Amino acid sequence: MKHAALLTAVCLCTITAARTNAQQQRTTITGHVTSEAGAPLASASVFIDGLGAGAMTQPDGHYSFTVAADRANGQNVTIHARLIGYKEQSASIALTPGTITHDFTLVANPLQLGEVVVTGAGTSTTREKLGNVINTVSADVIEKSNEPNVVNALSAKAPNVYVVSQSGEPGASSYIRIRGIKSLSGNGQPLFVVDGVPIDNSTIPGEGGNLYGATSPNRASDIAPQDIESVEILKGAAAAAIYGARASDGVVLITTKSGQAGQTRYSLRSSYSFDDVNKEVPLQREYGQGSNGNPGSCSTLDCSASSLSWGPKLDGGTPTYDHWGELFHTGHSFDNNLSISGGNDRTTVYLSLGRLHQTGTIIGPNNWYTRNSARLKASYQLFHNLKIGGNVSFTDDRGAFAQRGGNISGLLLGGLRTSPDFDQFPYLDPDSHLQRSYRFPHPSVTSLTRSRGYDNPLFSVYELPSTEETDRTIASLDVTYDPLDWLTFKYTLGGDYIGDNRLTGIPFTASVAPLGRVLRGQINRLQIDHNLVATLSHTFSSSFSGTLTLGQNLNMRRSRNASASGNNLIAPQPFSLNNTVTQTSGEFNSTIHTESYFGQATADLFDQLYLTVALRNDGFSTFGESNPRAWYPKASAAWTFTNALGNGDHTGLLSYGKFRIAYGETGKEPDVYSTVTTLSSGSFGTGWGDFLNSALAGYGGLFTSGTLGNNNLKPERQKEIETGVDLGLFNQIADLGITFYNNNSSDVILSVPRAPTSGYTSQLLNGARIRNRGWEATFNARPITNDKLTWEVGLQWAKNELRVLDLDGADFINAGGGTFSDAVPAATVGGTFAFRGYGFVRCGVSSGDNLLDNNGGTIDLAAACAGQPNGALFIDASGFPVKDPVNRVVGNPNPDWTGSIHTDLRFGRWELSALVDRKQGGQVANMTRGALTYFGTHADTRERDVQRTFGRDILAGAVAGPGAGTAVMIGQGWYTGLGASYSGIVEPFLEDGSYTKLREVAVSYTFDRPWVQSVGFASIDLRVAGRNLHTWTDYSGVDPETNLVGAASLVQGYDFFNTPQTRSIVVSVGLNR
Amino acid sequence: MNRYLKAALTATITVLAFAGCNDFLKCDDCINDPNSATSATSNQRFVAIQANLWQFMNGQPARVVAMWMQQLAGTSVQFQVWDQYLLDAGMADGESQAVYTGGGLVDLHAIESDATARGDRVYLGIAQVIEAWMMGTEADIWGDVPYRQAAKPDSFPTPEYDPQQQVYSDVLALFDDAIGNLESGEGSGPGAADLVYGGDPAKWLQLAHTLEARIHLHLAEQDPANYALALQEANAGISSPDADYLTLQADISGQQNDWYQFMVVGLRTGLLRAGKFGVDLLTSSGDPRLTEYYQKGTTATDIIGAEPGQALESWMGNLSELRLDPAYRQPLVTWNENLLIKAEALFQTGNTGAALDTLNAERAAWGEATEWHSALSLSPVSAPVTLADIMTEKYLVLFQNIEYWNDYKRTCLPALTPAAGKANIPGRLLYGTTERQTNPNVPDDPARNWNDPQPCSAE
Repeated sequence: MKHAALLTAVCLCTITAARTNAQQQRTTITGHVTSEAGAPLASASVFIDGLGAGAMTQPDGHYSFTVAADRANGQNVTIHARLIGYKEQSASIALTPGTITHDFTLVANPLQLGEVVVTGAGTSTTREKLGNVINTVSADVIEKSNEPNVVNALSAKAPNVYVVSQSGEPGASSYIRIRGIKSLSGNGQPLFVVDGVPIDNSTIPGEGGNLYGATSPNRASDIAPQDIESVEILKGAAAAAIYGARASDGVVLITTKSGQAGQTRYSLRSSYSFDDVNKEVPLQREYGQGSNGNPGSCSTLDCSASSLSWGPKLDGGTPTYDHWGELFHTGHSFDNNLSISGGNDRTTVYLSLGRLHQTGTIIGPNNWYTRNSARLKASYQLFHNLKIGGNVSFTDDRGAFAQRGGNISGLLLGGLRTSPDFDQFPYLDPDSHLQRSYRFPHPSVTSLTRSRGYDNPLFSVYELPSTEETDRTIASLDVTYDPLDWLTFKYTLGGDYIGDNRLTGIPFTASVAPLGRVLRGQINRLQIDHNLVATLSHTFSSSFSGTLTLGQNLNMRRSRNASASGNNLIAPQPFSLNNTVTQTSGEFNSTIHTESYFGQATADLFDQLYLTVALRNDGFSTFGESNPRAWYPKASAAWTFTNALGNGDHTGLLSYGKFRIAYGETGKEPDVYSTVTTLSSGSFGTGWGDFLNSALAGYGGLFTSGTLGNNNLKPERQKEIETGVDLGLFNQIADLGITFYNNNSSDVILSVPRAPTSGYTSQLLNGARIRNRGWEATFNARPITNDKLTWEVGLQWAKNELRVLDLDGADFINAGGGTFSDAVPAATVGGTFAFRGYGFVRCGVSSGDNLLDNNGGTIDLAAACAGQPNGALFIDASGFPVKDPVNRVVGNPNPDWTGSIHTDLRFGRWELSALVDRKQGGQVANMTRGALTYFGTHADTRERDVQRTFGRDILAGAVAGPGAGTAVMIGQGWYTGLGASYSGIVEPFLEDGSYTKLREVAVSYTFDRPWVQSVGFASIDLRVAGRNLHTWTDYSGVDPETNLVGAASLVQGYDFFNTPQTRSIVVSVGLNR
Repeated sequence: MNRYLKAALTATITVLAFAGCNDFLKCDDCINDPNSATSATSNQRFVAIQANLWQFMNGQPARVVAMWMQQLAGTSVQFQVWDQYLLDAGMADGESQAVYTGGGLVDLHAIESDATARGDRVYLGIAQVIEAWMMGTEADIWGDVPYRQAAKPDSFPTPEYDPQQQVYSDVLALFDDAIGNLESGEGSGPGAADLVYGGDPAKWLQLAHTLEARIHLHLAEQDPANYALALQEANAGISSPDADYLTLQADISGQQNDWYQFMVVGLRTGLLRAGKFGVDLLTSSGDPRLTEYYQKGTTATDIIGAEPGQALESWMGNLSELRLDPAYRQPLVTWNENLLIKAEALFQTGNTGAALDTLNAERAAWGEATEWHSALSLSPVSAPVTLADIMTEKYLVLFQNIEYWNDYKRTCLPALTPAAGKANIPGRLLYGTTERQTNPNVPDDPARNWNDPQPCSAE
């Protein structure tokens, strides 16, 4: 930090010096930049080659900059005007003292033809030469999303880039999936690369683990969105092949903003948001605590009251409480960013400072997140052919998070199970000053170390802090050297360091550890990346030019994780390991080295056919000894066929047409140390928390680990072919892109469950195959573009069909994690990644062998199902359905398709934009409802002790069997027996998670009148935006965009007391100078 | 820059790029897991095996058996469901694997081959006793199970299921082999790493005989001739409380009594409560073991048990403080059990007089406290002795012990009433999910195991 400050000071001095020189006698160049329709164009860059002089246009299209007298001696120079979405224009002017006026009229280039696209590992090309899809998300789109997490900002921005935000909690992680799930392990997140340096985007579970702990961010959220110039998403294997065995899930390339030569620009942007919960879990308030209709509360000291709300119907006068509403209030976030950008002919600099402070919608002091960030990016032209650059960002994140999910001290687990007639306030007993809860309503002073069953949620949010403090530094230096006019070297050395400190304090009386506990975690991650690229270019003739790129990459990733748990607090405070009776600790460390070489050749033929071939060779220390290196080829062709048709000027009905086809391969490395068979010094447990350590009575114990190592492991391999067209229509008023891809993942590493009776429970093998194929379409139209009004509308749609082809002989294997054992994500051959669990006996679904009905009698399923449709629910003589003892696929969390529509209307200084997002299909396991119906607090249990007939008014659908049509009593017996998710039957709790979401809507106005200049600004913009204002869905719980463990799991869609999503109104002001 | 400088820079870059470092991919921390050991001594394995054995004997099957035997009752969530005999293949998936995987056969085989190589027959014999004990118990619970092909991953990745009858006969042969090895006295054995017997071969010999007697009892429903064999083994079995095989626990996380961990640490006293049958049996006979085993619920004045699967109420009794003590040493095989094996075998072989004496000797032995029970005065049973007298005593002695399930399946005593609406108490657990998923040889789950053809019908 100290060094960064020093560097800042030096650079600022340089700028000041440059400005002083320009004071004396100068040439002023000024003018306007407008579109063909005559509308002024803001933020266009106007600059003179070689002099480093230039400026950006103001909102009225005006620009002005000066050249010092000693550099303006009447020579002819080329002046350029450049703006994304328009064709670059240039003109020759003579630099004479005085004022030169030059106006530009830029021709729209909606397809961004000719614009540079970063393609990774130090390579780039122009848009029309791309043989594969790369989606670009620009700075203004990211800014408009108002999302503090860059991954959330990508939501609904590109087809098949599917984003699920964990919850609305400040600091929650966000999951991103590109073109389906391609592996059985890990969390399927793409590689993130910032300015050429790969960075860590892990989501490291909170202390206490994924399912029980507090939320934790995905680490890409350390990047301040306001620093981002553009994001390129390399979706397919063809695009990502240059990243080899790190690119199986695609690559997200982030380019940060750079300083621009010319006038120094200042920008201060502040936004303030109002956030509230967008959707809640419905609860009943008619029946009180108790069981079988009998009251279950108690009144003596230290008595235990019923955990259920199957008590008597409450009298009209009995007070009941809103156990949802009392836990939430309006949250706020306050985001302030200052950026300074400038430079001269040799030096550019970009400096930004940001502070984000969010307080969440959960009441209490432990629901906030703060990010302080600073970035300095500078470059210096050392010689005419040697340029050096540096880029340092420092982020300090801190947050406090609520306990949630399956934690019995969590917010909603206890909160929503509480009987409606129990008042949570006050959470400390007035006499003993100890925690009271609905199961333990009258604590005595002697109950300091007794469990409350479930914690009072107020106690949880006020007294159980779970905090995180992360320091993140990403730094790089780069050197560009052009020794010859056909040869360029580009070298980048990057480092990414994370220091993450976690603390969870569990006070006395907390049910999860009534004796108190302190959990400490220290996570350090370091990545160093060295990337050297040489590019040779040559023009053979006017119709044939080409480039050859050769590169080397060395990378080191080191991870250090240490954790300590202090059990049994001594004094109630502080939450320090020193203040605990016993401590246990553990650590996990790993180091991965990779060494790769790559080459890429391009050929541009007849200005219409662009060919690219590339090859990467990877050596990873994680590969098995017998497969130390792997090759990844790619090839692509782009053919601008409209040029061949003689339509090079982009006019007419088919104003532009490109056909592209690409093939590429990428890989995924084995997990670290998968090649080694180790002995375990762990413990033996039952899954119910009871365990014995292998070390006993002071003697160390070791036993054979269940996993057999495999020294033949090689990386997983994705082979993908994609093809499509990009069309410009009606004089480029509209454009259409259609892509088809087919991705075959082979050698997919699976932990092959070995028959445990063989002595091992698993071995990692390259044995599975998965196929993802799908369609992507984008359509954009600009029906109105005149000097007053522009209107754009865009659609994007994507469908990914995921199929598991082979699991090395197994029918299914559990994969995807992040759930409890009721609805378990698994890959099923011939199917997809879906939830497996127990369901009811159904015709054509259950195997008919050895099925017993609810009274232990044998079921003749074949006879019962004769003439009944597949899936008909079997009803036994008692009138109830029957549990199928064989687990099966009970729900598919993957969407059928995703799509969005956005529109943008500009009228003068007004701008109105909106984004609507649709997810069609994809089930969510509503295990929150599964638990709450058991406890009798869910709104579904409001109707109780009523006659219901299966198939008709409960579990509607076809029924079969002897009891079909029999009315039965539905009440506590059903909800705590067969109808309880605790009986393992999860089938009724898988719900359709389709939604339509008004994700973004914004209106903004830009002030650039003279009064603005008179107060010292170039412009002021004001924006009011809504985020996730409304969600249309049939899902009965919180917002269906939810996942218990966020980005930490491959399969999404598990809801067990998940904290809710939020909707926001954001007001922001930008001051620009 | 001049031409030479350019050339030098270019050359430097090229050399830098391709010089590479041969060891870069072979860095020590990259290819060797810095977190885990890769080799172990027999003693280190033996310590872990004991942890696995105890966890297996006190884990999920013990909880389910105590519930089905109505010593306890499942009163919430999954346990409430299981106590109404709604089984699923996941309920003891881990335990069904424990005897084969790490800490089970795979490590026992490692010790056995190491002991054979070193000529340590005592160590070999001890490992064989544990192997036979684990495999016998596996067959008791699941019936047909892999054995001859088990834990040999290279030759048999998906082991065949051996008939229960064959597993039992292999186990009996292994006990005999183990007894021969222990009797040889050759070798030094595990010594202090044997946390129960301190490596004493004489105690292991007695344990082997008692365990062998158990297997004969398990075979008696098929062939009553086994009662005589059981008697013969029990006569050489555990001869005093000194040779009781009790787990060793300590009040340290990861070493605590499993029941304490499950109920107290795991805060699951709401899942399993005192069973009505067990409580009523002790209450009606004025047996002092009532408070030895149970304590009253928070809102009750007396110890009251719950019916199978009855929803949790605060009056329902709990396990006693003694049984929930973190350092309580769970009795897995005891002198008392050995006496009662003898008593049953004597009774079944027609020697009722000796059966009564043995039963009363066992009851009298309660007068002196041991590591696992307090000193309690039990009145003698008077003649004529019935099988129900013997089995009821054994039902109480084997409180929380999975072995009693076998006794119940054989004798249908004491006469338990199954959960409401159910014809009979389950006689086996379902094969585990993982094994079913990975081994095509898993047979369909039969209703009953081979050694237990007749269910005990409801009254």
